[in-house]
Amino acid sequence: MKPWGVLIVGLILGLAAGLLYTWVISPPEYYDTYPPLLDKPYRTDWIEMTVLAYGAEGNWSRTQLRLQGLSEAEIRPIAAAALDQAVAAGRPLVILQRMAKLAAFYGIDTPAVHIYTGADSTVPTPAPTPTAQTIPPTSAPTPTAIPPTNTPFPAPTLTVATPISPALSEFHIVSQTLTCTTTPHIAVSLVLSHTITVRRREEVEWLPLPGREVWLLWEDGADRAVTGFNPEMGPGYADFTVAPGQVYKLYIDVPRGAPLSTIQVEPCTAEEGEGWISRLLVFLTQED
Amino acid sequence: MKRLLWFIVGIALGIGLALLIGWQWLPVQRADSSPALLRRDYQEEYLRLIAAAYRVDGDLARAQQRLAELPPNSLVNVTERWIAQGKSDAILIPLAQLARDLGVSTPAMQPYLQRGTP
Repeated sequence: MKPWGVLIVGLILGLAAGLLYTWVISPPEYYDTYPPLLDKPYRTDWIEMTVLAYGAEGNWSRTQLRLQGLSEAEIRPIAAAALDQAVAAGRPLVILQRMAKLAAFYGIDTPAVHIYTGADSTVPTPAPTPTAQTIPPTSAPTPTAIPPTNTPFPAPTLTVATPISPALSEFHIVSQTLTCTTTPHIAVSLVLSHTITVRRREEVEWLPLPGREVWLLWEDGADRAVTGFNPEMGPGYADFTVAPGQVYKLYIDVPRGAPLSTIQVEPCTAEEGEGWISRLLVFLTQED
Repeated sequence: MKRLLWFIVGIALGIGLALLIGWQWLPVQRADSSPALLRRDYQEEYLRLIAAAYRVDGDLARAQQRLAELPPNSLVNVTERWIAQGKSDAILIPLAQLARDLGVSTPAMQPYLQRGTP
């Protein structure tokens, strides 16, 4: 073998031995690392804590910084599990909503995300329906949600609810969105959880409920609104301007018995600035 | 003899090159470090996260377990330093509450504990 051949063989052997040493036997020990270089259990912990912290703080940009460099595929299951655990533990609604918002941002599509982002409800327009034969969106607060038609629907089979139905269960809050505004208001969006059967498969869609009375009662007064008089906000929407500091009891249909919610109009926190907390409450009812 | 010399020179060059590659140019990046090896600002962020997560889940044992991964007394040291720096209540209240629940609150933390009481 020629001398340069021997040199190259030596070089290759030396390189192999050296790389074995530097990459496998004695890799550099890092300090001053950053979260993506944490060991997997710590990374999981970091992500889970970030999701919980976003629930507590609501600081979007900081959350994005905290998750920078971590893969979405890794974030997704951890965020979904954290939200499910928080729901199961009955954490405050505002925390669940934020966690759901974060989960939705990472493309998580679970029932908890749907409910707490209000994906089907905070923008109270009817969800896209499977075929053209399903319920068209109505913008006026008319008492019927579907226009009369002589053409029978062959398939899919629809169970159509009229806005005032004797067979509806009690309303319950599914989401609450708080905003800081100079003039506080309480807004309500009423939604019906409605099951349709499409080719023998049951699907749930949320429909806004127009024409329903919403009552606010306070110590020495009352106010009433009917859903659907603000079409650009959706047929199930109604709102009230309220007074700072006042405590309100909210009823739907009849202002009797236990209120669905008791709301005090509170000032915004120092972080949010000057103003008062306004709320958008989404109430869901189901067909019995 | 000459060939052996060339061989040794080759090996020496190879090893030298490998050290440069393996430790300097392309060091292997293993994701296996612990929170204690995080850069200081990330360690402080880790601390904030522990306190914020504790505020939501109320799991003191877990918070304690997480704190154990950081250098000793991190919670008190960082909280007191941040109090001195005048950081916001939103940052300090959860830290002070966690410290109190771990039985290590200090006089400097008292105002934040009072402010954090609903």
